Amino acid sequence: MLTKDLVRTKRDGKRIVPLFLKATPAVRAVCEDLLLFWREGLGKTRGELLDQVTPILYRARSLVMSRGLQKLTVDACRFTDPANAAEMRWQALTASARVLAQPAASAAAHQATVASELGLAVPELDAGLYADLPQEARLESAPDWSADALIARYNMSLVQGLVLRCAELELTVIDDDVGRRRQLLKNLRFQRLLAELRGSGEELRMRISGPGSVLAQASRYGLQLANFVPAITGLKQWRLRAEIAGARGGVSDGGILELSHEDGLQAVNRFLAYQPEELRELVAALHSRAPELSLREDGELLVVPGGELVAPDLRLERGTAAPIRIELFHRWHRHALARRLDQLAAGAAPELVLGIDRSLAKLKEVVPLLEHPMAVQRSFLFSGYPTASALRKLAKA
Amino acid sequence: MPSVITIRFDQGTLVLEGVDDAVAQALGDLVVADERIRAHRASAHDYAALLRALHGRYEYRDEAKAYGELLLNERAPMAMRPYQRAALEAWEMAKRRGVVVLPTGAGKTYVALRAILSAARSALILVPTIDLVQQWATDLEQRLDQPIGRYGGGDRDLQDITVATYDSGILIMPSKGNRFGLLVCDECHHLPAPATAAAAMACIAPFRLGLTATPERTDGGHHALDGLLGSIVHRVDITELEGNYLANYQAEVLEVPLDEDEAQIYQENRERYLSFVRGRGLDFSRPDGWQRFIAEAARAPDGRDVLRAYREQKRISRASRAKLRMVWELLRDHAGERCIIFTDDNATAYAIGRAMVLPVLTHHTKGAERKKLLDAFRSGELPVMATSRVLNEGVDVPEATLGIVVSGTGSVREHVQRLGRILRPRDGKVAVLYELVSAGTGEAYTSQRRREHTAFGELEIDLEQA
Repeated sequence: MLTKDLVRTKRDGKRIVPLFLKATPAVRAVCEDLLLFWREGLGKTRGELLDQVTPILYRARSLVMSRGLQKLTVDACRFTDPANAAEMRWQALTASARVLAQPAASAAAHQATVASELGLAVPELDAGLYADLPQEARLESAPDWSADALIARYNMSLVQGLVLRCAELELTVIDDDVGRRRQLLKNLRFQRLLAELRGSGEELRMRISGPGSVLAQASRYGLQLANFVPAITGLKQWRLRAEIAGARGGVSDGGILELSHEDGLQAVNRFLAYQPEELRELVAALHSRAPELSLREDGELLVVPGGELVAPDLRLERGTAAPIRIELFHRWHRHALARRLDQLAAGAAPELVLGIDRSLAKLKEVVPLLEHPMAVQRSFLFSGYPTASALRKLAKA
Repeated sequence: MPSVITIRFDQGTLVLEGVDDAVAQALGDLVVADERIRAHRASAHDYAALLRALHGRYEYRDEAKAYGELLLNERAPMAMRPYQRAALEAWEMAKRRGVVVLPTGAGKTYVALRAILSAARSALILVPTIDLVQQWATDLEQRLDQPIGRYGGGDRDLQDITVATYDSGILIMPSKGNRFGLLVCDECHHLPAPATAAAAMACIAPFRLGLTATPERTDGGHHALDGLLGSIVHRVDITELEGNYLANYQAEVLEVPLDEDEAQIYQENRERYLSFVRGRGLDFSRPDGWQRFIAEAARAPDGRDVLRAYREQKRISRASRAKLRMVWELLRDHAGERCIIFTDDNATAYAIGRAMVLPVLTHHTKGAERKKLLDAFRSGELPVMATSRVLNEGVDVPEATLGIVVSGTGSVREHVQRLGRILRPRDGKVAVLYELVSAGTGEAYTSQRRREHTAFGELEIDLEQA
């Protein structure tokens, strides 16, 4: 992510417009030079490399831009742990302390005496004493990105650097693909953000913020919001609006950020609309055994009291009857299960049924939960993934 | 029949369910309707006020509070000094909320310990550095029959009494902000920064104590302390305790002329950079002055040279050869004394460390070695230590008698805190703080700004104007 001193924008009235990099030959050349410089620097120290890279940075039309590109590149580099100089240092420091009781006439004479006590030459002592500082670490690997990949990362980081300074996002999702919506909602929940939802059908409007955003504590969620941004780019079409606070906490240099899918932002790790193989098999099995039922991934969000977003996994349609929405709990969901049972008991989400994996149900701390009235009334067990017969039973119940 | 109101702790806030319009109106600004969850929400920091507003008027169930009362014993109770007792009483009178201002070395930790005993609730102590986590935790372990948790710098042990860094506080409050009934903030002038303020807001602790020697912030942020911890309930100045409860001290400025060749290089570079600044009408007294300088330099064809010139003149004034010789002279003059050498930047600290074979403590120093070096300094095994800023605050080194400020910012707080490092009392101790200023350079102005405090003379000014 770019720090605020590296975020390049221009103003258009009240709007803040990020200065996205276009893959022009000149920009590509800077990116290629930078990437090549770091790839060729394997084995050199961080300090050396940072000194030597300067001419490349100044070759760019904008130093702020090239420093941003450099930051993203260096962040992805791996450096060796510097040599451990602590033992030699301790010997030198204790020797120095002894000699210091009767100080020499000059620091140089003192240094020479200490070096001699340790059986070292002065340059060896000088170089070795703090040889384990970060700038002494040696480059082990550098990213193998193309110039275009670096530009894509830069543009995403530019937006994230701005979103860090906002309290909420207004997102319009124009995409009815269940899988993509689901990934978006999962990411929202992962970042522990909340959303006010409006609209239906293809267009969904979301006002995304943190739990305390309704109070005067909004700035705390900037990092979560910034981390959420890449998930948006997995959608087919979207619009984003955010009020950006001033870089120094004031409002004078703040403004409105407006973006859409047309800006061409790309997430490095795209959140793909992946449909698991088990689901495809289950849909086919159910279709052959119970054609009156249909099953699909559930892309709609449920908000339960307490503000938690629930993204049911499956939606079981059964003709004119109300659909059943199913949330699956595997072994790694054990903390969420107890909470969800309490939420159901409090009257939340009457259409929700819980599927509990047997490997979870066997856990010592989960066994008592199976006696919970809601577990008795509104859950079923499965192994790995629900079966067609389990869903048929559920539909009849 | 109105329903029972439920109060839950939720990610550093309070969620209230069952609040109807009439109750919401009665609670006023304390709650906000949160449409996203179809409930009301309140700041965790308003927990006590909320309970006061509900108590006796509405039926409520408190599911937020996850702390209890503690039965605490001090192993060997000490007599409090009069000003410590006055501070504690003033805090108790203010419903156990507020800020106590005492000079460094005056025993703020002991006031906090007595406050913890007085509150008898689970307590979280926030401190600025990992060294202070260790120092506080060790001190509390020696005085209380109670395990003390440490959080920060690799430690993640949460106990009923826990010491954590401010940075860890930011991370743990959303999930653990309901586990403590007393929040103690050491060096609480750090608290008004947005992230740390949010940590204090995310904690439900009804009892709060702030400790500092220097509450004032030049950005006016100290006014926020009233809301976060309570107002200042007791204040004692450094000059009131000198000689009785603090060591006698001398603060001396030493002007150090640059060597002829360095003076020439300094002048050339300074002129190069200043002519650029003047030519573009840049004004460093403006809040964005520095950013504008960097932006202009980045755009200008000669910007790279200007930046290099700026760095070079700064390097020379901060760490000239003459200054380093002066440091050595002072170490010779005070041979055998425990000395801390302060610099503004890591590079100078390491340059001194290399040239004089001295231990250097910076944020790069790893935890285990940091402890080893500090222990060796306290015991006298390593009598001299160089540091950039990590020893500016809090770390207790009673044996130190000599401080040498090689370079620093213009911050009054930083300078007062550095003086505080050598003021811990000991029989017959006279502490000396030397401040080295490169003569004829921009450092003279920086030095003047940081000494605008009663601790450094008769001059007393309004720090908000500093």
